[in-house]
Amino acid sequence: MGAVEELQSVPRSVFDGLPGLGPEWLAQRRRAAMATFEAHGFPTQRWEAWRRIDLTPVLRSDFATPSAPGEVGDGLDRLEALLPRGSAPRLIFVDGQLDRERSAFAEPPAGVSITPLSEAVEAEPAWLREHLAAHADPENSPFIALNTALMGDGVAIDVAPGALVETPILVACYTTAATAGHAVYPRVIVHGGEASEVHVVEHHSGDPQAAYLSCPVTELVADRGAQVNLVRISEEGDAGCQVGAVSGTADRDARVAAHSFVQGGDRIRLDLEARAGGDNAEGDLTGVHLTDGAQFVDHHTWVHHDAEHTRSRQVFKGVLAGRSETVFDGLIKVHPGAQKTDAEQENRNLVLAPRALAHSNPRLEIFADDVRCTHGSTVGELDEQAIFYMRSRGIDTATARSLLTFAFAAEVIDTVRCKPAAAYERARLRRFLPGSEQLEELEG
Amino acid sequence: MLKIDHLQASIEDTEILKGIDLEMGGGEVHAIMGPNGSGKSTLAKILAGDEAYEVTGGSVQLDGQDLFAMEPEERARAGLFMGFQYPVEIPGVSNSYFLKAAVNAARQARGEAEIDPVSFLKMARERAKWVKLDESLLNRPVNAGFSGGEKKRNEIFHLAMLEPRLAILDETDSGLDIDALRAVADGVNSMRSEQRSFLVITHYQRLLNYIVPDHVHVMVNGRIVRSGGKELAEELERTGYELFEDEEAA
Repeated sequence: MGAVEELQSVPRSVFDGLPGLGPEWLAQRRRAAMATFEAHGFPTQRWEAWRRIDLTPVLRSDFATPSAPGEVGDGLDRLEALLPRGSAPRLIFVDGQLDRERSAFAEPPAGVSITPLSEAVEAEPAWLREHLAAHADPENSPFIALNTALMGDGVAIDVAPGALVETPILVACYTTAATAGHAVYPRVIVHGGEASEVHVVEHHSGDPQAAYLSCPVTELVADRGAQVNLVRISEEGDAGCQVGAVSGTADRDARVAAHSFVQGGDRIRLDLEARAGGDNAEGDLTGVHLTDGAQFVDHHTWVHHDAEHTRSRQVFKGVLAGRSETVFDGLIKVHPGAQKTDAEQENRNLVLAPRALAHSNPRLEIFADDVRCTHGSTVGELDEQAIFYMRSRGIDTATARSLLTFAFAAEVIDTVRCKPAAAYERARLRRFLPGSEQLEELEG
Repeated sequence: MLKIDHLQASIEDTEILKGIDLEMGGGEVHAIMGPNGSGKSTLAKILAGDEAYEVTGGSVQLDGQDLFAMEPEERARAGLFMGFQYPVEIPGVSNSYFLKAAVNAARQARGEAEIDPVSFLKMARERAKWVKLDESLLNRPVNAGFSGGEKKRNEIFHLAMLEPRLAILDETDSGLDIDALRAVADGVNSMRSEQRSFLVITHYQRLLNYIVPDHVHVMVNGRIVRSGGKELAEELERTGYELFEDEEAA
């Protein structure tokens, strides 16, 4: 057996060692996912969708989950700046296991049920049977396959038809040093019933030094006229890797929106999928990544227009420092019959250091003739004319650069509807830039 | 307050300024007129610190200080202001946010405390009126999506907020309709004082009907070929620049 085959066989032994796969409908999907993984194996740089990213640190994992959660220390204190305790329902997962002491979801807002996935699977409500592991397709990524086969605990959020849930729901996944050399597979599913609205904030972070792997998968399902919104904040530790996916689907007149904010981590790869599945549905994918040092951040998007009068918007911005490297690879696919599709895609990268490198690859596949699809992609530096203009008004170069960079990224953050999450990201962005105190004063 | 002594400058080995001498006292308004390509805008940009140009000879002193030893932001904080011919759009940075940073940078350089937000807002609203700048433009990103006239009025609004010792207006009148021209001139005139000098750079005499200069200089091919009082501008309007081009050639 060669090294590659040996590596590919590791997840199978983890899978075979699982205590159970849940009810038969789920067990079937998990076995199928394992088979899909085994059919393809881990991606290599010969795979088109994986050709830029060097997965070496990811593949050092043994793909087994730690037997018991490790120490969090003060690792989750930052959540107080995001959604303070008591302000929102929260589920905290440590090394893939629900931490009941740190969580508080017993009294959810009216119209929403929040259940740990392990319990929801036991209760197996009809919506869960219909949607869990039915949208995030193992064929799309070996890591979706692994999450589906090996899925750990997570959360099932169900919003009653017509319920408008303004209070965001926080799901935080913290990975400690106990996962060093191992992996965790958090799984989230959000179901918005007809004409409902919900906001979920996912926060991913971990031990500042440990080389762990997190492979989270989230499915978002918006029934007719529903709005399901996800803000996903990744702040992994310096040696932490995350290979995750979000798969959203919107029925007629519905909207799914996922916003990904990434700062920190060693290798971060996110596959974001939005499907406008019914007439007049909308998919909205946005993201900001701030990279430094030797980080590698890769955002891949897959936006599908399956029906008429559907809309989508993708806006991703990167700010690169150090010798970091980023990828944006974004697909708009207009399927046959999806007339009157209106799709936009924009990727802008600001490269602040000579050794940083941004790749941008828009992809359009259009099989309908009456559509509007636009895309734009740039990789550039700060506008020297704007810097001179600001200096000529008395603003020093460093502040001018920070102001321009801040404005560049904040433009995306400001479109996030969940205000506490947007405020948190703005603060993170300020701290990423020199002269953050002055930026803060100016905002006040 | 400003002393330009035999200033020479070039861009990419092409000599643009071929020895400019100019002296301005406090409270004076000087106009520099000249045809396109005469170097008058280059002079403005060099004074503001645009690094695209290379100073190859001569010196400039602002209140006795060597201007070329100062960074552009230091010049601004020392009281020099340039109104841009083509004001730059800064997406995402609101006009008032930007100005507050600029005002506070100047105050900090003078050892003063930062302006409090209420006073700043009051001052901004009042001075926006001087140039008939719509108040809504205070909260819009700097110059982004502004009309040509709004951009120029915004420049004069910045001038009014920053209260410089020396204001250089680089072809502020270009492309303005008569209403915008009057608004710009009204703004400048309300800023005129014993302590504040203006260097108005223009191609046309029109602006000088509204901002009446104490001195007029004619610049042709990188040199000041003639200086005089405000009547020189009127003469130019009648005769055109050809006469001076001949003079320079002779």
